[in-house]
Amino acid sequence: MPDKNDNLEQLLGGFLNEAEARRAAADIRLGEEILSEYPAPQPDARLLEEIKTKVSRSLGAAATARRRLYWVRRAVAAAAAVIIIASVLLLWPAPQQSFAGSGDVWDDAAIAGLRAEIDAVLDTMISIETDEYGFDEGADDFAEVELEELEMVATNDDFWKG
Amino acid sequence: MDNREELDEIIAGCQRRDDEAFSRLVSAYSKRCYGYFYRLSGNAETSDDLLSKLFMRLVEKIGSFKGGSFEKWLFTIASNIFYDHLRHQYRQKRLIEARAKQLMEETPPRRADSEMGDKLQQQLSKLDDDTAELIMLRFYGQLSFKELSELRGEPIGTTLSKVHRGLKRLRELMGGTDA
Repeated sequence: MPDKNDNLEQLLGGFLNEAEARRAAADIRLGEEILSEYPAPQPDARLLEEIKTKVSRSLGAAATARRRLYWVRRAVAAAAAVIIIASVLLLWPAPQQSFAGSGDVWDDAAIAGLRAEIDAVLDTMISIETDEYGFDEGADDFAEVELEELEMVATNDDFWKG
Repeated sequence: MDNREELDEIIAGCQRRDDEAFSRLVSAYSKRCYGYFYRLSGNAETSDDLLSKLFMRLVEKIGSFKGGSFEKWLFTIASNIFYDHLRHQYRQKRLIEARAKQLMEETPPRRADSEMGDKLQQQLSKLDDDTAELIMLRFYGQLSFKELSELRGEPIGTTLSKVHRGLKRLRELMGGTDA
């Protein structure tokens, strides 16, 4: 039985005359009493346990996926930065320096710096690959988690409902 | 849930992704949500499935609850899930339409739970889907008419009229009044 304090007679009175509103309110109350007299079956206790387990697993998987995503994003950002820096250096070479006998526009320090950055990015990516950050706590496979997330997005996307 | 403070505490816990809070939420709302799904589908297996989907959807969406009536928010999601289910059923029906006759010949028709269920379930299936859903939203969601009309995006007079006509018809079908 709805426990909201709808003043039925008053609500219905906005559309019906007093006698009609009283009758309609009684119809609604008596109809709802029938629903109370025939309670619906209750969910099985095992079903509730299953749901709780699923929810718990989903919370754990989401946390793992978030941590993975954080590191992957960092690695991608670092790789992108290196590519941009390298592109800039290649497109706008430093002014020719008059090294005798050398036409090379890159000095050793610049090359060493670039190489160090590339190494750092590679290290980070290898660390992620080999799970050195320790975010592979469960048995979840990253691809599986990502797939689950994509599936969730696909099945639960209700943008079309407006 | 009667205690608003307790409910707020549970919701806050869920929004912090607290396992225990979700467990309490499941315990608090599973019976009403199951009743809603069961009375509309008339099938225990479907209701199990929809209830499970509802709570998994809550895990995703709880962060978007910004206060107000939790029941209205919860049952809006439940209603969307039920309509998704109906659409899925419709698509499946269309997909197997080509083979339907063949299947009917091979397998004796299975009785739906509702045919074997209680009298109320049988009579509910005689109401149109829209009215039956409104009545179930009001009863199991414990929603006011104002909340119902907002949820449906229709004038309150329309909601009142549909629920009134539906419940009156149900009472007639149940033999509680002269038709």
